[in-house]
Amino acid sequence: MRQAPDMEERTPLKSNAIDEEYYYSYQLEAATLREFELTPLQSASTSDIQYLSEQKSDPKRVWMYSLACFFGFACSALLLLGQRNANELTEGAAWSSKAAPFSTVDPTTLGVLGTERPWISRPGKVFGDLVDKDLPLPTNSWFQNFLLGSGNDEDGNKVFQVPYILDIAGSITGIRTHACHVQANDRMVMVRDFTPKRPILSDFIVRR
Amino acid sequence: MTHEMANGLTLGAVENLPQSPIVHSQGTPAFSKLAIELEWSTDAFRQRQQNAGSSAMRAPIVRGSPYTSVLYFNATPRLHAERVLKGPIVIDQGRASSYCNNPHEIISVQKEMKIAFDSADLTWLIFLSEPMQFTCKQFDATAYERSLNLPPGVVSGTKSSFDLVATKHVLKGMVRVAMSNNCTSGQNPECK
Repeated sequence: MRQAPDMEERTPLKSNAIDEEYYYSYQLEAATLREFELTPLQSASTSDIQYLSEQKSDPKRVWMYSLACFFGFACSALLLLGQRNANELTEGAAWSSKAAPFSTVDPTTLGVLGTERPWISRPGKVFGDLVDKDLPLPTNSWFQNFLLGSGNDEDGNKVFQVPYILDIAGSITGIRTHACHVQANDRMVMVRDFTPKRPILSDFIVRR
Repeated sequence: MTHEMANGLTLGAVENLPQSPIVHSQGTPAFSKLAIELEWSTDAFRQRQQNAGSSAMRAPIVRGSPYTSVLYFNATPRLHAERVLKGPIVIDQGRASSYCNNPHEIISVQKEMKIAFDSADLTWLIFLSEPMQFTCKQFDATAYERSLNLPPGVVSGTKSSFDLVATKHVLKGMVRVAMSNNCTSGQNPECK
């Protein structure tokens, strides 16, 4: 770093105009530096004024800043951990909660009207042995059409996976993939349904 | 034309697997929010028996996935459609081709095939996890109906078919399909 001349030497020692300008620029830079170093951090009372140079060398203040940083990091870590636990509670519980029920009393014994559930609305064979494991079964998933009905292999059991439409109603056992055309405007987004089957010979005879 | 059920491409197996699948789950949670895995399996496979009748296929279905994949366990892959080919089967990016006009022809595929169907106007890519050999056969119902001289606007109800069948089973392999073009020749009205 260049060493600034003494502030009291205001008279240029050299007669050269360029050197003179250079000399005064030195003085201006030195004055600016001093003004910055002497800027008080707290100006409420003159007795509490602390300068930048003093603050750097104060071990108590350094210790306080370190403590504040540590406290900030600890709070951030606790917040992140709390958010993760909250996600586990909300997402995991939706499918796999094994919390104890509020009551095991049959509602009909308390006067609540019972509902006869037909066999067709019960979980089908598609769930396999998952029904016996006391696991919550999905009731409103995007793949629900794979799980509904006794056979779930009818033409109507289509799943809009996007970018394909899938079903298991093909001529052979397996999964069938269809093209999917998404139509959208400023009010809705929809997938076009399939066109009805073409008339076959037997339909033609019946109509006539 | 895109929205006819017959335009679909089915990934199945040669083995006599049950028509209705079950949900395959590897633990808890039993269901994922974005995926489900269907399984068609024999009783022997579910009882973990290692014999010839123990075979299965599983379809992991993931929302938004550009592939439809099927895992085969001691099973023979089979692809089926109710359409006929529009052009030859392009094998391994043009290394070879087949017109599917000889059911005894052995089609050797290292990695992938490309097939395009007539009237459906869809082109599909078929990817294999290991080299396989296939036989191919197809039946053109449109040509058959033309020979019947039916009244205008009436069809016989006979379905076209396309069958691509592996010559032997795979112990554990995967076949996946992806649609690469839904407007192959411009027949599809969605092209406009």
